Amino acid sequence: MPEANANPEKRFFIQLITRDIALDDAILDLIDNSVDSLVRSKDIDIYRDFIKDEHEQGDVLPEIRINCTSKTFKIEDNCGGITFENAERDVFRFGRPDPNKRMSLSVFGIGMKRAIFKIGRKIEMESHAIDSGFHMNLDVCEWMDMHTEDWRIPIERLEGAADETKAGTKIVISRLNEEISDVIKAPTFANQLFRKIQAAYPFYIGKYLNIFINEKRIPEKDLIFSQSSDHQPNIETWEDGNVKITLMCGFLPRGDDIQTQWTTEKSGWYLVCNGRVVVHANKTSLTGWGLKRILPQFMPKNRGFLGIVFFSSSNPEELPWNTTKRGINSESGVFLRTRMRMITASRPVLQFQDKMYRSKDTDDVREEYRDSVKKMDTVSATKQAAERASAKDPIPSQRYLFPQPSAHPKMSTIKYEVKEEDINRVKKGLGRSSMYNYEVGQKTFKYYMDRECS
Amino acid sequence: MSAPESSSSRVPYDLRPRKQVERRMMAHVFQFLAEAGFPISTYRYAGFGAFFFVDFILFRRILGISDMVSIERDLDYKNRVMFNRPFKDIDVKFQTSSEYISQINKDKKYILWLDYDGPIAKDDIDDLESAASNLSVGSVLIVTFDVDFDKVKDSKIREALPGKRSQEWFNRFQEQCGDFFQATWDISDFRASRVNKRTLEIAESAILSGLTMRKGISFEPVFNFIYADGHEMLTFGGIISSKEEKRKLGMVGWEELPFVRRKLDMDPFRIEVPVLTRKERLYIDSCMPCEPDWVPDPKDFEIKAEAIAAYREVYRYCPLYLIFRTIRNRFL
Repeated sequence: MPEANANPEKRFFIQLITRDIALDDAILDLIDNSVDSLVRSKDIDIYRDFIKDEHEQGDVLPEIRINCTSKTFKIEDNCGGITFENAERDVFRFGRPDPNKRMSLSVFGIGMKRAIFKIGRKIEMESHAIDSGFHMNLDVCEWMDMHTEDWRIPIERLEGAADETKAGTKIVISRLNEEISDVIKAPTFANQLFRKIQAAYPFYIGKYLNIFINEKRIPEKDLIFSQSSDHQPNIETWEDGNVKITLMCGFLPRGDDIQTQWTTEKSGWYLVCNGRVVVHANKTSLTGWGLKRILPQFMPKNRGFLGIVFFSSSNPEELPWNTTKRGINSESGVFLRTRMRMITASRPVLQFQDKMYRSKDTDDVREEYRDSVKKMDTVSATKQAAERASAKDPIPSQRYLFPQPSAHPKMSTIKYEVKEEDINRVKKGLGRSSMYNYEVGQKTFKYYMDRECS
Repeated sequence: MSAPESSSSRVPYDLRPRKQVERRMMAHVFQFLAEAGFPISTYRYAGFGAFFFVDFILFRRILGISDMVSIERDLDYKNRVMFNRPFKDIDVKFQTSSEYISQINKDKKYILWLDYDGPIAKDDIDDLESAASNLSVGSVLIVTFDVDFDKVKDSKIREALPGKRSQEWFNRFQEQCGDFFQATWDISDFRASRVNKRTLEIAESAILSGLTMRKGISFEPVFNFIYADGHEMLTFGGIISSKEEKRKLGMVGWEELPFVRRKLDMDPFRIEVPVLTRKERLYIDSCMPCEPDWVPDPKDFEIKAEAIAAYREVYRYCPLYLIFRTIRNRFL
């Protein structure tokens, strides 16, 4: 039977799929690899170890250091390194022959290669695990021009690392692609990358490792939500196949200063896969907002809304992330079923926010609702999630609880017209001609109430 | 953006000696640039003339610039602004600076002076970014901001207790500067002595960001002044340059212009104008240029060596009206 050629082309991997990912997300992919290397070499359970208090002050954490200029990009870690055998067999393959079977951030077998091809044309990589290591020097253009069937990359065997703290990987990329060099040159780039990394690894930074950009350490930034005696967020945990899910829905913490003000920017849904934030403050139909007849569009009054979903699985392909890990595979069954619960969980929060501004209530009632969210305590969402994910017996769900207004009598408005000269006469009679018309109404009404209804 | 109701109605523009020194120093640099091959007299000067147009008068007289545009966003004083134009061919554009910058003529060379009177704000950063991406090579871009730690034009900062001012500055920068705000800055970076540096860094980043996509074009700093005629102000400026402009800049006799700052890690040039009586000044002027440690004979009058040293740097740029100031004020 005749056969059609379905062989892949190197050009496809080097020049085309690199378009589907932004530079900063590609860099996050490289960080994912370092993080995984650490989790694997130290056998870390990110949830169980997260709540253990054995991390001591002064412990030196492993590090990932990123340094970039418009000429070179360098990422270096001491997170465990890659053995020669591993490099020879797996690391440089496009895609994985078998799915990864541990709770990791490497899923698809594409991130590292796509990232380095995205960044530049000359790649040098050196890694030392405890047992062995390797060195690779790749000129991407030459490799692409070499005959297309040969996908092998020459590597050289190196010694293992002297000790655990030295086991790690270094990648240096030079001859940066022109547009990458332009992006890196922009004065905002390092700041954006800094904040993106800070927001993406709430479970890892400061706990298991430290990350530096151009020698500046990124401080940890926890995912936090609020709780007060009046307000309790909705928290539930369930399993869907091999995926364990914890959902929290409630309010952002709130304080007086600019850091803790409620803003639209911080508000929305956060989706976290194996400890990595994949979707950040989402307010689109992806998370249910503005889906016809289901939830309204996000409006400024909804700032303060906070939802977080933690997905975790030791079979990372079952998680709903897409290959850029910057979004969700929106057809994923796990995600669609979760979204139904997200929508259900968000309704009471949105109803409460409506009440804060609802015109049919009196000022007193609205004020009372608003007062109840003026000052809220902060609770660590990562810690809660870690506790729930590693609990032997499932922790029961906690339903959203918000304050009931104290009993205010039902109020009504009277409106009628009278001659202005008559009002003025009554004002005079009441002793103050400068009073407002509504005061005339209240006083004359009270006059009748006092005499006829008491 | 200039606001006639604010600063120009409070401070008579032409009576601010340090600002006047700054303008004259700039004019002196422009003369040097002209000698090095920058056709300054054919440049378009665009600035915020307000009612006084002091810079316009100076630049026309000294540099012979005839193509002049004053950007004026305040529409309430249209006639007053037009009435005060010192030359009939000054084109007054009643629009915001950002509207003006978006319409910059890419075939023209500009001296664009964004002489803001407040602390750095989001709109100003946008202006700098788009000015840097729109101005043709050879153009000069200058910007001025209020960096007065205590008296700055921002009620939240001014009204804060002195111990809380750094926090308010930090908040303001974080609110206004977006991704230009360095992720590692904390409140200690906004101490009184550091606010001007932070402002300079943001302004520089905004300009570099505007240049990111322009191949082979850089921003060559020239001015970095600090002065206070009331409020402490920062002026920062330089030249949008290709290789050719850089070559010409290499031929300028910078050593004759000690107040120029070609590198931003140098401390800014602080314009100090000591208060002198008319008689003192005439005497000191007659001894200029003096040796570095010269002071008048204390038998004549006592004056600190630092005052003389500061004056030595600026005497040739000092406006003469300085000596009339107190007299005029009394009769105002």
